[in-house]
Amino acid sequence: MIDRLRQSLQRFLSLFRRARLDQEHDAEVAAHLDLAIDENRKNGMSAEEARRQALIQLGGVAQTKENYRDHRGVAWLETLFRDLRFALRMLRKSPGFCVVAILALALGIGFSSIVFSIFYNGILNPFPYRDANRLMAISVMDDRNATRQFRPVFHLDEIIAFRNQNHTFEDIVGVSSWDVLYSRKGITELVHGCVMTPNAAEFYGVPPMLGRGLMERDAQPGADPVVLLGYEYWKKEFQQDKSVVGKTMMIDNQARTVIGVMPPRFYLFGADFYALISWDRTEPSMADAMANNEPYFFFPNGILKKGISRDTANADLFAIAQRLVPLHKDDYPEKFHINTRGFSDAIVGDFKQTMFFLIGAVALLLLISSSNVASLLLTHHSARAKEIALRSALGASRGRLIRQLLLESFVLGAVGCLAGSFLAYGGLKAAKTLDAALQIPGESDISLNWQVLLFAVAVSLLTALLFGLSPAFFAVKKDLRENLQSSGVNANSSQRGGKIRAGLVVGQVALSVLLLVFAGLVIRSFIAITNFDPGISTKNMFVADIHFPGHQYDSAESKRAYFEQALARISAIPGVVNAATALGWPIEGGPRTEDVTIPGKPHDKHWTTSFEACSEGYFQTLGSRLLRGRLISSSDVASARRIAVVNQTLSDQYFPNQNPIGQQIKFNVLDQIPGTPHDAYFEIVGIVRDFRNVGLQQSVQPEAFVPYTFSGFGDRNILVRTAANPNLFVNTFRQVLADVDPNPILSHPETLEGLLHTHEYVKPKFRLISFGTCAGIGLGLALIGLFGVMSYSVALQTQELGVRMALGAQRSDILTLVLRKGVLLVGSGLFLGLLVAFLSVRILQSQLWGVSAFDPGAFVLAPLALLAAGLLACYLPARRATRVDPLVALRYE
Amino acid sequence: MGHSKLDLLQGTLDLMVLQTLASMGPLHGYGIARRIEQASGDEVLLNQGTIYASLVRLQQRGWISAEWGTSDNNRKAKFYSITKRGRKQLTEDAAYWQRLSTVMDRVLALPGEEAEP
Repeated sequence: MIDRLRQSLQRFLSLFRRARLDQEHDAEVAAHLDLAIDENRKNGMSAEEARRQALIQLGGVAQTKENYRDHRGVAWLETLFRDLRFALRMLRKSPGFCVVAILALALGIGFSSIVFSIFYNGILNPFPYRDANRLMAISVMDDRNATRQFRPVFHLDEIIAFRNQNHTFEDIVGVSSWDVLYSRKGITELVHGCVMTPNAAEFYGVPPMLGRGLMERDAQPGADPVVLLGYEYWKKEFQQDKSVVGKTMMIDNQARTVIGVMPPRFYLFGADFYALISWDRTEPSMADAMANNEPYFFFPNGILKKGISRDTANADLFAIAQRLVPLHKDDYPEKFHINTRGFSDAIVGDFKQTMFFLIGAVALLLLISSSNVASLLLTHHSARAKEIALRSALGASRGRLIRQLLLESFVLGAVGCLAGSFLAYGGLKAAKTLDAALQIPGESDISLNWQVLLFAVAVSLLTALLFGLSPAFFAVKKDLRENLQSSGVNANSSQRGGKIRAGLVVGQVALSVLLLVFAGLVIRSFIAITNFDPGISTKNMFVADIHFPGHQYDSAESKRAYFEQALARISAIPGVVNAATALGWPIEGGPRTEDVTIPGKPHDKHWTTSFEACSEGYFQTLGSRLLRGRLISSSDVASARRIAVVNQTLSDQYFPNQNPIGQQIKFNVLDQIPGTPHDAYFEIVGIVRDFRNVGLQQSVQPEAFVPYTFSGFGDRNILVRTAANPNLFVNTFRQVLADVDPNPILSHPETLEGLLHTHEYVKPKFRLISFGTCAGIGLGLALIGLFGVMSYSVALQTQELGVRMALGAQRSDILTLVLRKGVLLVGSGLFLGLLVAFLSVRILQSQLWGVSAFDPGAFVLAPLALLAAGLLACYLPARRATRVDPLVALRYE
Repeated sequence: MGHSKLDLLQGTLDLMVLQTLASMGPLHGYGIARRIEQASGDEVLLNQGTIYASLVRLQQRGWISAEWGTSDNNRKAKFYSITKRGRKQLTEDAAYWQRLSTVMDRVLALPGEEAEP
């Protein structure tokens, strides 16, 4: 046994000193012959006869050496090396073919791996939490409007009831966002915290990266106040200083000990810090919660028990919720149901759908690229029919030929796969920087998914090998004489291959038309959304949040005193055109009231209305036009007069064919908010032209504007129209505001355009880039395929064309002849592609905005672009055909 | 058929080479081939060239070793000699062949239905 192993090893090693061993063996065989000749001569033979006999006895020098080599080395391995060298030499001879084939493979593998990896790591499996696949978000749904989520948040007592009374969840936690002040060395700023119920640490099951995690006992009365830091905040605020554990932070005027830091992938609420809240907290009124900045509503997360369906859980929670209705009458619609959905769905939302479409697009791309490689290989190999026949005639066995062809395909495939893997790796790194656009949970770790990469590599390699084998059927099997007698590229010999190639090209054209139409729609949608006129000018508009800490500015009068000064001073800054205060954001919207009351207008349905409280300069600052009546005046603001300006939609919807001016309106939400006027009616004094108020993409909602002095409640925003880039003014604004009073804090400074970018443009832009890239590459590959097939078919016809020209055919005749074939290919592909696009485009509607799925622009432009490019790809080979010299062509054989 | 030379069974050449080297001492390839031909009374069908396949095999297994030397008539040639492990292998293989040939003799001695030609 050991001797055998030793032999195998020796055989293998001998591969690496072949040259020396061969030389030695040559010498040995020569010596053998000399010895034999000597003996034969001694026996009386002539010199010539002695040599002849010696050779006969030996059995041939070449055979001896061959036999020796077979036994010395690993024969198949040596042949493999030889074939490999041969394959590389053959591939080097057609660099264009190689580059295109490798590129096609790399793009197909690379792009599909990138998209699938993002899908898997970002959407299917993004969380580090325990049992993440059973982690659910819970919300109340309004039955009258099934698609609308009434609220995804609950009071703590509701969550406790759910947790204690349910039969379908392993456990339920409540988590709330908690923005509080953090003070250090004279600086106070707003930090974004997250409070959780005491069972949270065990629930999520993620250990801290540093120090210890939160524990149930930290929530018990009398326990030392502690805080657990989020990774990003620790990095930003403490520069990853490990000694921060054990230090104290003044949070919300309370000294809290830092107990640890969470790892980067624990990203609940993207919070700066985490703290616990006791189960026994007495439920505050909304007024108290607001006044004391206590968390009021909590997002519930539950882990479903194994094998329990969401429907069962919904029914279970619904039974509990029904018992809760009497306690929280205002927080449930008349008819409702409870909906639990996967936590990732709750975060990812409609992005998942975009990803599904992208996966479809990438699958099409993978199809195009593999069929491209297939047709390239077919063409490449058909052109070599003669070479193969010649080698076959010279004694190469069929198996050997097939092995060589396979090896060539394999080398191509391997290089393509390698390039594809690099592309996937690099592409994912680039994709990570698109986090915001990707709309995937912050927890997800986007890395290359090896299973996906392996699958793509396997598919591509298989294609390459399968079609690499084609000449084995088209050429090797053929009668040798036929191939040898005719020219290398013979029309008859590749008839069958020709049909397959044509089919592949038609398929590629069809698929790329499909991709082009989709991309065209997405592009049109992007253009529609970015060029959309929201009704006000978005240029040079600065927006920011003013946070009023403590109770200093709780009254309407104090707010007025502050803003009168602040707005006057900001307006005085050179370069500032206008300034105003408001509750919400222009376009992106502000608070809403679920219903309004208008005397003499009873209604069953909710009359949902946006509610804005603003200063007199608001309309000028936005550039909104007055249609009828008057705007809010400074005296309205100063005396907090109960008047309202409404938009046209409100007027049209609630006062059809009626003049709303002089009518009274009550915003029912105010009745529920402490510190706002209850049962207050506002007189409508004017109508302004509509501008978007629930985002760009939704139609305008009814909206009313009242003087901001109607109440002192809450934080406010400021809006400033500047003459130049608003970002240049941020520090000046901060200074000016600090001069008025250093306590209120300016936070979240943004430009309106920036705001629109994050909220409105990012997703369409992501679709634009991803679909556009897919379609572009698909088109490129299809054109290359078309060009290859046309060039090849012209080469096949060279002789025929020569004869035609010799018989008097004009150049234009030849051009028509060749182009006709190309047009037929492109036309069939176009027709097929458009048909499929027409039938399938409806499903894309959800990804579009502002254009119909049957947008003529996309349906006309995309095929036209392809037709033009396709004709060019046909024209180039066709023109070459017309330049054929009849004499040369006739001798072409 | 009876008058043609014997085809060599797989592995028998290796055994012959080992035995030759064991009894004759170091020999070059031609010498080994000649000795086998002589010993078999020219009964064995042997292309002398095939001896080299056997030699490289035996050498790789470590049963023989090789060294360049000079022949009686002053020719440079590669001389092979049997190693200690080779001798051990030879004993084993020889015993096996002895047994096999005894068994074959006995089996072939069974009375057949047809008379021997």
